[in-house]
Amino acid sequence: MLGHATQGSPSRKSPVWHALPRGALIAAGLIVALHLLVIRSVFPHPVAREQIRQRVSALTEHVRPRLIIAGDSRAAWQIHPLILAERLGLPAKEVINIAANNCGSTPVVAAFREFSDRLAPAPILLLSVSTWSVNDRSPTYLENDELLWSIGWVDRLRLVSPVQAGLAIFTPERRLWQRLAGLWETSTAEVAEQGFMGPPDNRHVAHSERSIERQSRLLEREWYAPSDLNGVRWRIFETDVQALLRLGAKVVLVDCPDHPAWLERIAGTPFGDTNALFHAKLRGFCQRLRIPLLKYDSEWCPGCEPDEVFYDFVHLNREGAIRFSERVAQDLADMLADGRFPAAPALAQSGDRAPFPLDFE
Amino acid sequence: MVFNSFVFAVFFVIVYVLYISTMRRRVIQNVMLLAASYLFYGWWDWRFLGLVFLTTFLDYGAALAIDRRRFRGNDFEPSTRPYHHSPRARRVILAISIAANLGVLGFFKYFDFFEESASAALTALGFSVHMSTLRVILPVGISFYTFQSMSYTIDVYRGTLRAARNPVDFALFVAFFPQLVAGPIVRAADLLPQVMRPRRLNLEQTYEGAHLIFWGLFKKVVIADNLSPLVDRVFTASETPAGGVVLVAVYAFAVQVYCDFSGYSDIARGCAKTMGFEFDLNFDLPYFATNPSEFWRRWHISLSTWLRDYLYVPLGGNRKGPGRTYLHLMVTMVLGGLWHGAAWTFVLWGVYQGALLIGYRAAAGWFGPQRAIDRFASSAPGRIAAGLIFFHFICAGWLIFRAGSVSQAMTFFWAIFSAWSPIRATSVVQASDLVMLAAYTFPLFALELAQYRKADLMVLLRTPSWMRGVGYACLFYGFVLFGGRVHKPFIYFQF
Repeated sequence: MLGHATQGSPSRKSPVWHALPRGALIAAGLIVALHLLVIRSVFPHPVAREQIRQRVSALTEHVRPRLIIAGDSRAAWQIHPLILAERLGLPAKEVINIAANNCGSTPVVAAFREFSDRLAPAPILLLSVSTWSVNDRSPTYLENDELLWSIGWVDRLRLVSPVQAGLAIFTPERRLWQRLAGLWETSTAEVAEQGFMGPPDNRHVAHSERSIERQSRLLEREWYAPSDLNGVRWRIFETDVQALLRLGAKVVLVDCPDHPAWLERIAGTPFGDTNALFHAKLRGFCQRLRIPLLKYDSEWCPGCEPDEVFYDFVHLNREGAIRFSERVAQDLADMLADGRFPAAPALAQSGDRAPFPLDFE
Repeated sequence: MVFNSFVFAVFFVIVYVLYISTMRRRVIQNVMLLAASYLFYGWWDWRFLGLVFLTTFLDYGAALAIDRRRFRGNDFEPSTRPYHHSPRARRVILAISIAANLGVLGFFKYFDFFEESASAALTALGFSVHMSTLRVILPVGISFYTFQSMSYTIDVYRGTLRAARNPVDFALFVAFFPQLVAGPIVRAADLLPQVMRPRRLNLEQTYEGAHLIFWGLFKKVVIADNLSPLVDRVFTASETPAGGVVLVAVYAFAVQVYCDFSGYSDIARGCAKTMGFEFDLNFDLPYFATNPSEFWRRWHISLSTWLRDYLYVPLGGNRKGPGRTYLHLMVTMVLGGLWHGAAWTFVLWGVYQGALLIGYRAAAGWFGPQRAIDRFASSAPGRIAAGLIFFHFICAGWLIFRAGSVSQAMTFFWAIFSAWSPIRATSVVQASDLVMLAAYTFPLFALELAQYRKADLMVLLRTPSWMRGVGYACLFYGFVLFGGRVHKPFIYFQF
């Protein structure tokens, strides 16, 4: 930054030039030039995080999947592609799970856009959606997220701090770095069981006072924080789903079940109101766009003891994942039977046919 | 508010704009800075502003009272009241001031520690004891501003400094926000004159200040914060890690604590410099030291010189023979260790540092200027070897410093020296962590090596513009790619 008197003859250099922070200005110029180069030539559009990209790339290397499970941890942990493939009579490799923890709809759009030529024409896309991904009050999972990359400054500042909003400008650089760093890594993408992640361990939901407090604090802060749900993230969600439809995906939204004890705990509270509003908005959105919605309440598994199948208040354990996958597969099969929405209690009834024929092309 | 936060950035911009707009009105400028400093401190916890006021009020009054009693007969300024010269009164006032300052510090920082230690000791002796712990909250920065204020009173007593008449000036000296919560401990003789006279800004100073802020933030946000998970994983592991794992964690902590603390000091000095204030250097490439004496001339210089001038020298320093010198060294270093925190690990660390200094002093007499080993030690390979060896002595101290307990420290030493085993696939630390440690340490080492060779801490500012530009761009991308992943408070806030 400090000018050096020995650079050039002082009599020929402007004193203004000497006074300027030249090092900082050169650095700024380099940064701007590199940023424009990266976003214009390497990443003209937002791309999904490397974890998802690598899995999609590996799972679509030799086959074009016809059924894709995507979304957040609820899809990643509890919708098994192999069970769906078996129940629906599809080859195992044609059903994949690319869901990931803390993954909203925007990374799915980015991945779909990038790899659309490696998917079957008009694939069915099961997309799980949860309150946290559409609640402006739960921005914790936005660090390095594709969503910030995709929106403008005003929306960014509505969601995150100015520092985070500023750092989001350089998401393309971070993606490039991750891609370059990946060249040195030997770890393989998570593609076992067609990308199914499953719960991290085989615990069951705990009802100790301490555990309830811990889970409640997390969920109340991160998922169900009272919000109008009419903010940026809901708008982005609607835009993303419409983008997926335009890209040719047959979108089926999945609203996964919660533990009854959690629903009891938040009933009549602002958190319960947020939960109810979320379900209502989701149902209304699906009816408006005539998108199939698989909505599961606490009765999703008749004869199941909730404590036996839940990992925590909002995720299922391994046993629960098997049962849930079988349930989803059955409901999908019913829907595919004649391309209409069957009149089942768990399912939203649009009253009309879907905007697309629900079948496997 | 912390230095690496958006709130502080906004705060500093506002303060700086107000500062610039009041450049011709020093009194108003000082009032503004004082208000900003109190706002800065109160942002942490407004309840503890009272302690800052108490320290300020106490030492302002004590110094004035001491100063007014230092003249004999007609030897006084016409504006002052003709107090009689009273050495005894001056000593009493000083004692009250020191006792009050140490009392406040002792209560808030050490009450629970001594109470628990006493309880444990009595229980071990067979007494049935039940003491209710107060769980006293430690006010941020109390160790720093009480020491800083005490040094002022002592300097006035010694006659090396006149007492400040203007209470705003003195209050600003105590509470100046860049150095209030984590130092450096600035001497009144250095800072008060700068407070009391109009400041003048120049571009060179502003750019140097901005450079220091940028580099300090990089050290804290990119290097220190990214190494902390690795260190925490090892020191909070449920089972004793392998020796190789402990070693890696200690190396990582050595870099973490240095970057964390020196980063804060750089930001503090940089903020002050942009406003025309000069703080003395607090860290002078300490890991290039080749012996303990040199290390303490390079590490946390403001504290080490404070301990030297107000504890070691008054005890007698090295004027009373080798035995008493060693005793004074040990007392000074033990209290210096205790200053860092209320735990036996810090005391043990102080003992270790004292032992290193004593050992070095005792061994120094063995090497005369004619001996080959001294010639080797003066050569470049010799300095490198000595530096590497001594670095490991420093790391041994950091192991004690970071350990959660004395027993954990001993267990980790055992893992390294007696039950050594390398990093395994199941270790909490992997080969990738080694790569990460090397990657984060590299930019620090590269710049500091250049600083050391050129004997110029601002060497980057002397390079051609294009080189600086590339350097700053690389540091910026360090922030972008690696900053903000982990948010840790500054380590020295807990002291």
